[in-house]
Amino acid sequence: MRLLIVEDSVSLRKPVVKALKASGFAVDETGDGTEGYWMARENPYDVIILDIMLPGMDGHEILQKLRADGHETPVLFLTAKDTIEDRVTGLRMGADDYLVKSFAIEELIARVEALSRRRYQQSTPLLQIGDLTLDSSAKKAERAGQELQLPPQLFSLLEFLMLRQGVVVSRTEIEEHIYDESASPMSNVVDTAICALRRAIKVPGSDAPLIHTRRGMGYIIEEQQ
Amino acid sequence: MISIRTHLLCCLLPGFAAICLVAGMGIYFSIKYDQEAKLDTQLTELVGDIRLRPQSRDSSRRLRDRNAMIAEFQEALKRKQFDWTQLLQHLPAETYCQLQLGSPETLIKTANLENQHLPRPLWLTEKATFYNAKLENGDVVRVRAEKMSLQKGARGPKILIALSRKDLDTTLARLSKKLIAGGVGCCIIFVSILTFALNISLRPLRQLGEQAADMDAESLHKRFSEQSIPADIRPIVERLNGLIAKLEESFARERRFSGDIAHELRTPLAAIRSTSEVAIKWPDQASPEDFSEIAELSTQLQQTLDSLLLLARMESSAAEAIREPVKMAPLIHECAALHATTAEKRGLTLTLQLKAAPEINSDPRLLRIMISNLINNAVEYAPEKSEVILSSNASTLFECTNNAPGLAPQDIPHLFERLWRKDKARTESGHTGLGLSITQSCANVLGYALKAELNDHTLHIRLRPS
Repeated sequence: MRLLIVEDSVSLRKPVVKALKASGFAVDETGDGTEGYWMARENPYDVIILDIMLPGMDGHEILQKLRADGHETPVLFLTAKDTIEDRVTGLRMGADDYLVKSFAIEELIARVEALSRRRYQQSTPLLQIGDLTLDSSAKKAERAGQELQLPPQLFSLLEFLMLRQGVVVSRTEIEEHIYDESASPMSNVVDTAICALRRAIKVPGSDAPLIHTRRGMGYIIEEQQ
Repeated sequence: MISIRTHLLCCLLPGFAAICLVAGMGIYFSIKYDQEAKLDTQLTELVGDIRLRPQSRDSSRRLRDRNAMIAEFQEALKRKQFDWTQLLQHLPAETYCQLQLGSPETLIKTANLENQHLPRPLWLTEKATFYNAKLENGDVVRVRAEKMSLQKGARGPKILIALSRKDLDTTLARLSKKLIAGGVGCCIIFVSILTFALNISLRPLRQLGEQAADMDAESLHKRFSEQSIPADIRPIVERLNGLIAKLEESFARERRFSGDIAHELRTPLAAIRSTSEVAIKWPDQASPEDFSEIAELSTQLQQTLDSLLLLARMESSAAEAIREPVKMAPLIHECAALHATTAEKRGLTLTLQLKAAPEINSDPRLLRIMISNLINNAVEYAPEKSEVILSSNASTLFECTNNAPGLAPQDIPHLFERLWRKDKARTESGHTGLGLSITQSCANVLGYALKAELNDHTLHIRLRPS
């Protein structure tokens, strides 16, 4: 999952980005409203975390413009404005969630996860393919009853593939959703990761390949017929 | 305070009643006078008849010269050849007449007098006198008394002739009753018309009162309607509306302020909380930097709270200024020194023009706060490597001049607003936007004037004794 956080207070942004990255998200950050708007237009984010009081363009304006352009990305408002009017205005404007400062970091992470689930029309955190199950909220994956030890980035990749199970996911899509801006476009980071993931989901007793390569198109996770 | 209505009624009603009374009395007495004059004329005519009648049985002789007839009459009187009794019989029936002739006086009366005498004054003259009298039979009469004049000083008879004035009195009594009834009726009509008129005229005031009763802190957006208000009270209503508009504005400002304060306090708190929570949850990623971050944020929070408290204290009536002799030059030096490091870091040149700096009677603590805030502002916001000039003289206690390329003329009125910053988003700079409002409040307490002027991208802020 790839996130964008637009928050002008550096001392708040740093720990939040740290926490989100540690939870397996790819995170892009900025402190400027206008820059945030352009980034939201250029890149496909799964969730955008938006402060309201921003230099350049304020959060309300960014949201309105994005929605007017047709972007359906879930947006979470993170703000100090706490009155009922502010909340109602924000939600009516098209925000998907509203969190008031100061917040518990756990709550922020949980809400972001819920929003990203919504993005893929997942109502429960459980994903399954064959004997491979993945719990998004518990951050656990199991195959044939055995727990898989996956580093956060691979977990994220597996989750992404499983959310699009039965559909071919292109390399570019994977790049865009799992890696932040710092990933170099020329490297074969995706191939390396897929390779590592394949290895990781093999367990003694169940090693049927689930991730298949479609040459020229991308990868797909499905049960082999 | 009695109501306008009662006041008007109490003033107008007695006046109107007095007018009715005067008019009524006027009518009554003029009619009375007229009627009595008519009666008197009647009496005089009767006496005239007496004088003219005597010797003439011949009606044609009445046409003769009046004076000749009178002369004849007087001749006859002198000769005492006069049949008075017969004469009296010719008088109309209800007339009372009494004659006193000769000396000693012989009395000749009309039959209707019977045994009574007509009362008479002691001395009678040749000029007739009229008076009222009451007879023993109960009749009230008007009497004309005269001593008839004769030629050559001979003593003439005294004639008293009277007519009943019962009819006259009855008429007058009836008239006075009618006048009184009419007067009372008029007063009643007047009161009802007055009450009605007052009700209509005072209705706008009553509506105003009802509208005012409905006003409270929540309905400050409403205004009193100025259309159906009479011209007399329109200025009051306009002023009222102006007052309410100012109140509304000030309430809105307060609401905005408390919203802004929430933001100022929440952001550093949120950062402290998140930093600590992340350090707890992912201890392997924690670093000592986190602690210094938390410390810095806490200090920032402390400063914001202190500034707010100071502002609140300055604005409340609890602020009292002490007065003692203060030398401006060393004070300004001191404040400038506090910011020397920041100025150096940003490459700023601090120029001090304090040769003419005065010594004044003022509060050194408040002065220090003001000057420190102003210098802080200049040092933070002046562009790097520019010059900041601090000066002081007898007319301008303190002036701070710096380059301000980012400021526009429309920003100047907002400079001293609480939590106002040029960039609305309040980016972190350790600055809350309260500094200048605190300075303004201190200036108010000391009775000084604080003005900002923007000349061609140079900002001058001047502190003057007003």
